[in-house]
Amino acid sequence: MSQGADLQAHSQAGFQSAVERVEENLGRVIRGKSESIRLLIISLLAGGHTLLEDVPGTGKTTLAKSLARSMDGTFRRVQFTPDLLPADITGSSFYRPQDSSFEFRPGPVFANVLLADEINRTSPRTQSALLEVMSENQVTIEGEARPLPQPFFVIATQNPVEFHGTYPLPEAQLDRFTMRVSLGYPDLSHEVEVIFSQNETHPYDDLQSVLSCDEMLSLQEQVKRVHCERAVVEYIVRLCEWTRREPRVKLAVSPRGSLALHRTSQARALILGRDYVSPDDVQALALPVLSHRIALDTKTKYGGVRNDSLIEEALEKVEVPR
Amino acid sequence: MPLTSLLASLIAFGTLYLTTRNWILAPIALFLVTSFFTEVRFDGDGMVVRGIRYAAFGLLVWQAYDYITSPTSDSQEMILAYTIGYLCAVETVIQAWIRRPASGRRSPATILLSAMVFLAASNTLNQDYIRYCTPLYFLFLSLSWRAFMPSLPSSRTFWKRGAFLAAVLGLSALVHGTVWHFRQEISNWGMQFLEGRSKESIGLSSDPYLGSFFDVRGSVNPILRIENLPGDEDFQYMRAAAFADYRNNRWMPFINRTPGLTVQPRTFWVPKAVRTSLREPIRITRLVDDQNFVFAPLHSAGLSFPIGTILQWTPPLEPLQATTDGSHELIYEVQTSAQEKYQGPFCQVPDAKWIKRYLTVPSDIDPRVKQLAQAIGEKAKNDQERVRAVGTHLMLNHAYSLRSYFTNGDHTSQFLLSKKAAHCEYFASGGVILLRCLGIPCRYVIGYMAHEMDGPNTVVVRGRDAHAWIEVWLDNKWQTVDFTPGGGRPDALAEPLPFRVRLSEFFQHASAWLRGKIEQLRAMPPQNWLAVLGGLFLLLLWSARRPRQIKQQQISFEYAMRDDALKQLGNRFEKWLRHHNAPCPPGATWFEHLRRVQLDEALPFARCYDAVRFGRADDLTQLQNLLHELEKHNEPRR
Repeated sequence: MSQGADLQAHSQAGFQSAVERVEENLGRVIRGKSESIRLLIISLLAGGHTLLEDVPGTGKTTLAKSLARSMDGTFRRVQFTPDLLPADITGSSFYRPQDSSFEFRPGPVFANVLLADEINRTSPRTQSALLEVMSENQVTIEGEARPLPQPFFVIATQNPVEFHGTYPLPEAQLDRFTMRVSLGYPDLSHEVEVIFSQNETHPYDDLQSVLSCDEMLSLQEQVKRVHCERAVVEYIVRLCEWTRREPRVKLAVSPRGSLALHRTSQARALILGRDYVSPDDVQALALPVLSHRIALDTKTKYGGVRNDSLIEEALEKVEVPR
Repeated sequence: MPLTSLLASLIAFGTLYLTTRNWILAPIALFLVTSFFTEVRFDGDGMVVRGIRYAAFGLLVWQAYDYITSPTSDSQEMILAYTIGYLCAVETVIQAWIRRPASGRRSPATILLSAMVFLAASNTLNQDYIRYCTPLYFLFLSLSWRAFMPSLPSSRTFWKRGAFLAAVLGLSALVHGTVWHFRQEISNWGMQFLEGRSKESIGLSSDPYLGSFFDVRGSVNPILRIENLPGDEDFQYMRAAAFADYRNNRWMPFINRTPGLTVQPRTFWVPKAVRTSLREPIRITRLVDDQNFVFAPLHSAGLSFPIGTILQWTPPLEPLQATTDGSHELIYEVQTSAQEKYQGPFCQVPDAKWIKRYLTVPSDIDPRVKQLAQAIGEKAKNDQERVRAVGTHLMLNHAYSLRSYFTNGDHTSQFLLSKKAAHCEYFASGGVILLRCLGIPCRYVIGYMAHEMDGPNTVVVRGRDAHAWIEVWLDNKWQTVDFTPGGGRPDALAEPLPFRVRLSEFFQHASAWLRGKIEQLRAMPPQNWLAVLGGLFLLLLWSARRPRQIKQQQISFEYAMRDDALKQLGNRFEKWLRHHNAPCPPGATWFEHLRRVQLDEALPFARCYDAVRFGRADDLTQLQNLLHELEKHNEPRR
């Protein structure tokens, strides 16, 4: 085996080991959701942001907090309420009378992991404060662009059931989330474990950091080096293009979506021990990465068709490269 | 296919053989049975299957052409039904032999097609075959349905559903049997409802009696359809019969039923001198055989009938009657001349004997009628003025009424002397009597008045258009005279047709139009037929394939390929999958597909192929070896 291959194998082994540590850490707190945890990690490795959407009480906030604690970076939490202002998120300058100057106090976005809890409970004005943050990893305040710490990761949660007092996320905001993950209710045996595990103390309290920020950045760089054959890229683009040609789709997948699918496929391939992306990776991630980016026309929506079923239809109809 | 389906299909084929005795079913059945014992399958889109289908379609087109262009007969219809049965049999075999996707669901196409075969075989006069074959067929049909259910229901559910199905079938049979048993009554009721057909209100009497009412509202049933009717008023009067003798309130029958007396054809030949003045012939369709009368205007120049029409007529007075070979519809033509009041076959010059009859005032008539007549014609200088005076008197002194009241005695006399209101028969009878009293020969005529337009050049005559009028021998010519007031004529009395009658007539016209078009098409030369059918077939083919082509164009895409040798390996693997009845759908990866169809032995190849195709590996040797092993050791799956 060549030296290059040795190094590659070593780095792959290191990558998988790091991922396993994080998964194991998170698995202590969130039982029976290994698939969702993996998706979250994939999104993190792809340098993207994740929207956790599920009914109340399934552990969305706990998962986000656990992920943040698994990394030794800074963690901030913002509880989105209707009276929240954009400055409460990005930070603002305030006047110091003693020296007649303005001091910038950074908002909670200036952290490695930002938990935006119940993001749909705040007004669109405040939601839009996250647009620049999520797409460009910087905040522009009073004309000055302030970069955010790296790695930067937004985990947002929302409850899809309640409509009173909520503001649905605009499509521009949704498009900035790399993935939308749903946890779902645990099965019987795992829920029993959850109850027993939280009997005296919460597992979250015992969580330790297993990954440093530098390690995370290194892992993200490794993901970028995963080989993606032109045919697979064409397949990704064909999938997105199908949604653009479909008459039932009012808003199709954007190039940001195809980029997200590409990057997350690379992350998945590396997690599975491969240094190349296969169409299986693309198919496995198409639903969580693409389904929240499309908007259906009214007739289709009220006809009972969901975003997920449309993406599944695209997967069935678009020919896989062989 | 399941064994029970195979047996049901074989019973259907056997029934078709018993009906048609066509040996072609034997090899078809043999092919079907062979498919049960072998795993070999063909591609559904392949040339073989397509060729067979084109040939079958060609056979159907040929049979359909034969059916359309040949005179219709029962055997032709049965042949067409059997041809459809053969085609379904062939398609059953095709469905049994073509490759299916490995999705786990069986296709019920074979069993449905066998039902079509059985139905075609049931189109037979031999009930015994059907009586014995049917229970067997339905038994295996029912058993075979279990094989097509995605998940077998529990025993209890199965029998419950079976009982429900049996109840539904039984109820359907009961309803069908009841409707079939009373089909004649239902048909009669329908006819009556739609057409308002009432036997009592159609038909002219051969010996009209002057009664107390005239049921003009009775029948809207069409009697005649007339095309090219000239606009002259004289031609509106379509005469059926004329009468000369009156007795006991009745115009006496004169019809001598002389058997075997037929009309000399040259009676209706138009004389040479008139031929240059002939107008376009009137085309009359007699829709009902109302005493077989031939209806025609008084001034007809000639008549022509279809070959085979039996005519009976003893001129000058006996009505012309025509019968056909069982069909009640008769189409004939009436030639008319541009000469005014042309004296044709119905206008024979009366000799002295006939003049005497036409002038006879019956003894029933009250003597005061003669005095009335003389008073009316006192100031007239000639016969024309006398006719006008009589008409004026009747119209001014008598009102029209559909109902009148008479005591015992002669009704016509009462009508004239008491100035009663009455209907057209009295105006005609009274007019005849008065004119005869004034020495003008005339006769009483019954028929229909043609006034209702039914299209740009067509007039329809209905039962309610029955009318009575007078023909007068005046100035050495027979002329039509009508003394009924305008408000009493059929055109004034006709009420708008009910909607249901109009609807019924609309469908009748549409049906007649369609039949006419089909007749025209039948006259088309064979090469035109072939061209039309061929064009239709190509259009059908194109429209069936076009959406598929568009769909394939949309999703089919040539992905960038690294290596032709790799591509060939991929093609070989695809072929191997097809050989194992597990073709991979275009939207599935090999990995996912192999796991789903449980072909785990091919997973190493798929893994290795992915590494070479999408990864950085470039060694094809291992890939070739793996594929070779697959091709060598694995038998096709069932």
